Amino acid sequence: MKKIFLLSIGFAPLFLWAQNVEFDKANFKDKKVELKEAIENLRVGDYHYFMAPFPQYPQGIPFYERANKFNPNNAVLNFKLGNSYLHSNQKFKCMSYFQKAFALNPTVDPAIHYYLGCGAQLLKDWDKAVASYELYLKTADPKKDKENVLSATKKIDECKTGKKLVAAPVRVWIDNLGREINSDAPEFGMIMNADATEIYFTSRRPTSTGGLKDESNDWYEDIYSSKFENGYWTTAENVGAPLNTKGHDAAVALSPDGTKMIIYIDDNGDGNLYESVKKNNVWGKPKKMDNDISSSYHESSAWYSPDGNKLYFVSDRPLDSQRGDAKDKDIYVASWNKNKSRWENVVRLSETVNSPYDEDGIFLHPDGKTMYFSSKGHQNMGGYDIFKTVILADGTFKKPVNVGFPINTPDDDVFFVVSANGKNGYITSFRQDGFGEKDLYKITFLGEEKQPMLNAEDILLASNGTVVREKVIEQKFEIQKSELALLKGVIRDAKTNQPLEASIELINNENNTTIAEFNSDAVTGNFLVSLPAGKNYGIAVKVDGYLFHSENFEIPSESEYEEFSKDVYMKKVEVGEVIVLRNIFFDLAKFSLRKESQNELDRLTKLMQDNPSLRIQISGHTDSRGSATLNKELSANRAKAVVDYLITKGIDKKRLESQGFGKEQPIIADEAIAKLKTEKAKEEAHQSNRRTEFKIISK
Amino acid sequence: MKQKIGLLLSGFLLLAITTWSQNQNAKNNDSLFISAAAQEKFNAGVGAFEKQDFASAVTAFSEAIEVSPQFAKAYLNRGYAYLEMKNTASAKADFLQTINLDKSAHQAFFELGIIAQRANNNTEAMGSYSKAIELNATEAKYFYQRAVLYFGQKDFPAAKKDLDAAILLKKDYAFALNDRGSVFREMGDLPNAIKDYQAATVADSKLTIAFNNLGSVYRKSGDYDKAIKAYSDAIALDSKFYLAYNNRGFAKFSKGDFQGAINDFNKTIELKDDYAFAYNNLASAYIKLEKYEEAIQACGKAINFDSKYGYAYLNRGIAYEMLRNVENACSDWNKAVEFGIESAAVFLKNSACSN
Repeated sequence: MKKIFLLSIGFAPLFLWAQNVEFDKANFKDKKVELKEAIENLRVGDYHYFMAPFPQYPQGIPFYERANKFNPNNAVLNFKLGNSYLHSNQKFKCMSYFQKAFALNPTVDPAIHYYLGCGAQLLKDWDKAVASYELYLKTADPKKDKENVLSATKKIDECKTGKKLVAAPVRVWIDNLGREINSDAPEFGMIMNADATEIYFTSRRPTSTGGLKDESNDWYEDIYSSKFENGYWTTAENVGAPLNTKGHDAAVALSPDGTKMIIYIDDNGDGNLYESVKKNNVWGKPKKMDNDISSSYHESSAWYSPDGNKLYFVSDRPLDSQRGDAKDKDIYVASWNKNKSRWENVVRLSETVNSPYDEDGIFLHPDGKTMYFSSKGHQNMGGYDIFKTVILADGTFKKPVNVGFPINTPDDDVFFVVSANGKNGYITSFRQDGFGEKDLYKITFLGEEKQPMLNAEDILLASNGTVVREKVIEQKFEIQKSELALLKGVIRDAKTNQPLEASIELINNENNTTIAEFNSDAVTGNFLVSLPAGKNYGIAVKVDGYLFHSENFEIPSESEYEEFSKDVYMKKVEVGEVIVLRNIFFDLAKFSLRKESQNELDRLTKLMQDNPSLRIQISGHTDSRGSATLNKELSANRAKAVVDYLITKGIDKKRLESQGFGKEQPIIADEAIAKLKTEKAKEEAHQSNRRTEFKIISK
Repeated sequence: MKQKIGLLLSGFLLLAITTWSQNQNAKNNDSLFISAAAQEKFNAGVGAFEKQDFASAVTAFSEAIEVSPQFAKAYLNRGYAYLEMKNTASAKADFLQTINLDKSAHQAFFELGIIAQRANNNTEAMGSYSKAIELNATEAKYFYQRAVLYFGQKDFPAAKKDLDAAILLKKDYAFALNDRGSVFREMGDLPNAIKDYQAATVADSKLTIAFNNLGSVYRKSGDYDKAIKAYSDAIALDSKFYLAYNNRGFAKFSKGDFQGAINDFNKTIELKDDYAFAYNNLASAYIKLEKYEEAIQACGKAINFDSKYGYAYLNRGIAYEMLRNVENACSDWNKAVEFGIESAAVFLKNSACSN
């Protein structure tokens, strides 16, 4: 009956008639020396295989392989080799050994059908895998073999999911990032800044800091980096101290602006998260994160929200340590308390996201609402799969969706990051076209299949013979959107051009709340701010001793990805300097200040308070459309409204002047506007001309 | 196809003149004013016309007119004869003179409508047909010809109304049934289009275009098997009907039979080797079979025949993208956008072009 089943699911017919050969003198009478050597290899292999509490399966493989070369027909050795490969980075190799072990001895292991199922699943041979798991379940003892029985039951579901996903693959290109990044050693866990110009990843290379190997005989993990310059990745370099130490150092997360990094450090078996801050373009010494984050349990993955106010992280802490609940890795979120300068309010994400199985490898897109994570649960095709969810407006999560094959495979798929524009992703993968072990790969999302368009013609009227072209209805497409804008640039002194370290305040103009604060780098002056769609942003740049600079960005919901490059030139408090107040708003054709102006007005108030001798002129300007008289009157009233506000805040009216210039002093002349190509650009130019300014009269 | 329609129209005239001649013999209303000699010449003209000796017919009718200058029907018949001789100017002059002599000569109005329509003077044609209908609302062809004008103006409700009238007068009017099918099709009423095209093929089992049109409506309805059958019927009637091959290929493509589609598109090209649509369609099928190099070649040929063929650029762009030649794909989609293909703009956004 067993043989019939074996044939029916097609396992290893080539091995059917092979005979089990023991490592026995009687079987190798003429090869005593070789037998002795093989038995020694078996012994070393077994040493690794049976290592307690953590077997060293990969380490035993070379020894088993040598023994197997001498005697390829030993069922137990084939089984052990299969199981060793199953627990290695070359899992797909396990199947041929399990098949041979089974062919040599169908009872080689009570769970052989379970393992044959695992092998078939890894090879995406779904039907055979299901058949094997089902056969295993028929013979297994649900009490004695509880763990494998539960696993087989789950794996049957995984195979069903896998079959569906493979039948409808997502359209992507998956490309190795190349020799500049990947090496013969394992590379994994790539992280990047929001505009994907700078990446960090972990590798076990011989250049590892300290030159040490761990108990697995692998080089210690170190962090490497590369930059995207002129269309190419620069050769990856070890980032050195203080990020890399003699121990394991793994990059976990990078803030969107690339100035903060979270690092995983295995503190004597208690994995913890550390944070390093980049200052003056140099990474600082990593500091262990607060106890609420880096607990006595294992924390392995994390990601910042784009505004830096939330930290999502993975921990295997029990749901209730008092109850001693089972530990599985779940995703938690902590909030940043600005006043206390610490992470607090740690909350486990809901069960919409956290399955009964392990979650890991979080990545929060710079849009602030799309989260990718890996899970062994949900609708999974084997091992960890990558899932996508969306944080809804009320803070709940959409049901996670498997990102599909071939991004996900029956093996573990972890560490997935997506560029801000949503067009590319990056994964860690072990593939046969790699340079060695795990490599980093770029995914190009091709979107929906682009359907070719055909044309037809008919003679519609019988009497005139005119050939009429059939109307073509074009394919409807969901445009790939990344509801996000990135603002990046350099902050400099307006006169010397020297880069400046500035504080950048990001304000939600709708409710006058500060969303986040960032700093530009003191050495480079670089800054990068992620602006998720659906808000009107005020951006205030401040440097001590300089006048503040403000910008306004309206990023509508449903908008497409956009990158703004804006270098900011800071002006010192000097007579004659003019600053445009971009975040002062009036209703159309009116001069009453809108509440969204509050933050900007308060900055101006503070400037006047900090510089008590300062005298300024507030001026109003309109665009060139409409009546000159009305424009002048409107602009004068608007300037006066600002002055009146400052007076209500206690600024002496003698220090304030107001004037309306109407359309007399445009920033962009009408002739230049007329030359602009799009209506949008023209409207933006008109908008630039409609403004409120202040000018320093004396100080 | 135009030749066939010419013959059909000639048949129209012969029938008209024969009928009229019979009427003359039966009633001879003009005899009160027309001399017997003129009538004899007139009858000789009718005889010559029936023998398709149009030059002799013109001579005979002219002699009748010479004898009796008020002989309106002689002008009318001479006009018909001139039309047969392709002497449109003389024909038109005779029809005008007919009306001059007999304000109720609806046939002359109708013929003037035909002449104006052929000269693309649709306003004049519309006026003439309307006048003919006003004078005689029992002639199906008058309604039919006006419907054709309405169709050209995309006034489908008006076209339908006239075709309804034509079909009411002549139930087996195959042309009108076909054309009303086309009206329904243009109005998006595919079930009624199918009914009318089917009725047209029953009324005239050799009306190739009706079978082809029936196929196209089935195709648009998603009934690809019936579409393929109808196109095949059209091809069986006219093995050189390249449109039916192209359309059948389209139906096979839509059904997922890409190799069958390729065979039909190649046959189309064999029959009409400068037919850009067939090359573009061929490329589409190659894309589905992941034969991207072949698709690029086929699109290239389509573009050679029509350098502003947006869909060929669109499709070639798809093939280039699948070959990972992003630069060429983006260039082609930009061209497609330039030639008005909206999908191409979306392709540009949903691709590496916008990275």
